Amino acid sequence: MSGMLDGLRIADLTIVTAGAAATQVLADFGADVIKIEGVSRPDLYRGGIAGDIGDDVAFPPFRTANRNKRAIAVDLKTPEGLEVVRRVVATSDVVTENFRRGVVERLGLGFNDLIAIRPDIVLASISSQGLTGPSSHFISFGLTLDALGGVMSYSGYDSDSPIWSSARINYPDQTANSLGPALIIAAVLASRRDGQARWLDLSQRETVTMLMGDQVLRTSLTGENPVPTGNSTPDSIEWLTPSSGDDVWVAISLRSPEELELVASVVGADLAGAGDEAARAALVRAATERWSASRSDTDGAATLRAAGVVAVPVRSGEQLLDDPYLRSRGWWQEVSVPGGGTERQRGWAVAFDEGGPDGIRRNGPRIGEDTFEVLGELGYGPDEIASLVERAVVSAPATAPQR
Amino acid sequence: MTSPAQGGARAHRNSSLLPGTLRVVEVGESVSTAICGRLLFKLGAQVTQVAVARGAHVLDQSGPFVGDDAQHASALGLWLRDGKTHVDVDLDDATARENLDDRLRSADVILVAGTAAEWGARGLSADRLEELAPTAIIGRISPWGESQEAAGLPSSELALQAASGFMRLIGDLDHEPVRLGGHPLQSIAALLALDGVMIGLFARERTGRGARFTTSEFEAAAHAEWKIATFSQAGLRRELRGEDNGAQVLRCRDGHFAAFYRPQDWGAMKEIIGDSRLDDAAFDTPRGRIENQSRLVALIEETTRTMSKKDLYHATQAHGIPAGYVATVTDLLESPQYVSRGFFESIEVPGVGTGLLPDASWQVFGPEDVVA
Repeated sequence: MSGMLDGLRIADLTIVTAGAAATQVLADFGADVIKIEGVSRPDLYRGGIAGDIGDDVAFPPFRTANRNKRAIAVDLKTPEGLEVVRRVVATSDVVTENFRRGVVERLGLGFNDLIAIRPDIVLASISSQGLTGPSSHFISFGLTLDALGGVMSYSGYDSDSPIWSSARINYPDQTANSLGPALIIAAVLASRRDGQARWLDLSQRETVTMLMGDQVLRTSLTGENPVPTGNSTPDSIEWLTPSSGDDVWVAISLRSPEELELVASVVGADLAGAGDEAARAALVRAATERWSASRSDTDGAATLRAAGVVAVPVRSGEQLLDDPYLRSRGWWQEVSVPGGGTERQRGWAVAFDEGGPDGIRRNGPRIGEDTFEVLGELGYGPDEIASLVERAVVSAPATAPQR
Repeated sequence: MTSPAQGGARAHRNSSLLPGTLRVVEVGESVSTAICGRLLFKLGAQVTQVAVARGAHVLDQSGPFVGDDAQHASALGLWLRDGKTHVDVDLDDATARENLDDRLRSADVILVAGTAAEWGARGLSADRLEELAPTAIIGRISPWGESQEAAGLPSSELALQAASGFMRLIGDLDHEPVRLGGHPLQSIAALLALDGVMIGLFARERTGRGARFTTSEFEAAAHAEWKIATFSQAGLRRELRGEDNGAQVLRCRDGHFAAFYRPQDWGAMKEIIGDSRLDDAAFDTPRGRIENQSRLVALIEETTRTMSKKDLYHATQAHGIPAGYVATVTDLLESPQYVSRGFFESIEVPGVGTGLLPDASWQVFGPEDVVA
């Protein structure tokens, strides 16, 4: 077991990926993350966003985003169910949530409710647009935040076709779940220093915008907005060149106009009398496309790299499973999957020389998989737990071991 | 140095969580390292950025640029140096090196941009850094890792998006894959490095010991594009480039609108658009709408081309539809949401004027604060 985050306990109400993949990072490094789900309304990500995959742990990304966590299933709308969660909170440093604004208050788990339970609690709220402001009650999915956050306005083939990061990537969720762990730890350290509770308000929309400070500054000074320009930018010489095969490409990224000559020497472009930089770039690009079209992406990229040019094949995500460097780093983590066999899940957020995790301790949990264990730790006796189960205040899989 | 924007009306934002005595030193320059340092500054730390002579100066050389020929500056550099102490060091100068060593000895966090081999050749190996600062958290962020074929290549956002599978999913199948604008993967590398710093600091509270971690922008990219491999191994079909479950980008009279709606939102969408042709049975189901997407978008755009994208945003949100407009940077600067939250701060750019930078994307409230 890791141990770097030993002593950190999270009452985790987050769902899908903006929140759940954030607490996954904390769980990976040894935090005790208790995933709290409704008896009848579990994390909707279990069945895939469209709900067509199945339930429980059938959806592969769910298994990754919730590994190393324990899970309890509680009917939060009953007083006894709420009491279960209040006891979890009393033993936790942090409550994490990414519900719509106002939901935790309606559940009886608002900031003031939590302070009454534990005066130094951290409530970490990951939301679309923050806790305050006229749009704080608006709802979104990741794609919406690509648009509202601004990155979409300069992504795409041309100015009439802004493009989002796609439903599969969902860039705004990836930024939130990468930033969230650090902020949660920082808030816990601050609360431990002074004994004061803190409410952390993380806006996903603002996170997208925060990471484009160069464009914000430029527009505020010049009034000019960036627009989509395909794979090049106004300040770089970059493009994709086709390789042999269907939809096979190599990305070329030049650090300076002088590197055009390196590419020209490889692809046989004659730059004599080519005119200005734009004309030279166009000539080299056309020659590169002719040169690369009959070569494999790996051969073309390797030849260009040997000449000192940044050139890499445009790969697909599944090709990363065989990436030599990731394998050499031991990055992929192999775990068992329901029904037999194994799968490889993404590795750790960073690799520590010492003290980091050795492997995945627990698979993504079934609904209420650890209900009995956690309630036992909270002081509930076997008869009390049985009664709560019988009245559907809590639930657990039929095969869950009882204490 | 930045200051509150929008005059005195800017809401007070508190993003500080770290002790003001916490010292961070960035060694070398990269976009990811500098973003990580900026976030630590926003968390309340003192950050010093050390640029070495004859090293990469990506923060000066990368666009977008502002100013004229006389006052030409990288907006990237202005942003990522804001709030930090900047030091230029010639590592061949004994006095300068000793000053750097002193700075490193007092550091709580050291962020190194580049490979171990690169910095070892400059006399700043991982062991040397640990010798200077044994209780510091030392994080090294290289572009491509330490040992792979591409290890010696410089950082490139386009190349990262290509090598990681990220851009394979963006765009449409009638065209080549297309990158997401800006520095999304270099940014995620910065965020994950920040996680490493905070994990290390948390452990140090208990053990009193420092820690060393490494990552690369390439590994961060793999971390961000983590779902496709899971689908592939499970034998599940994944969506191809351009397939977005029927989500649409619609033209409005003043820009574009990102129409992401759920199956249960279709009735409300029809009501907002108000065109009876949308009652065609071909559009009744999600599958039908995807199969007839071109005809559907053409019909909807007959209406949306007459509408403001922000009016459409408010109309859809009023019905609980999770859609939004494609905000230009000017839209962001004027956003009532951002203005009300005091999200931008002013920065003086010598010879150019007063500009704006985004603040931290988080705020911290205490028991006495009114959150409304």
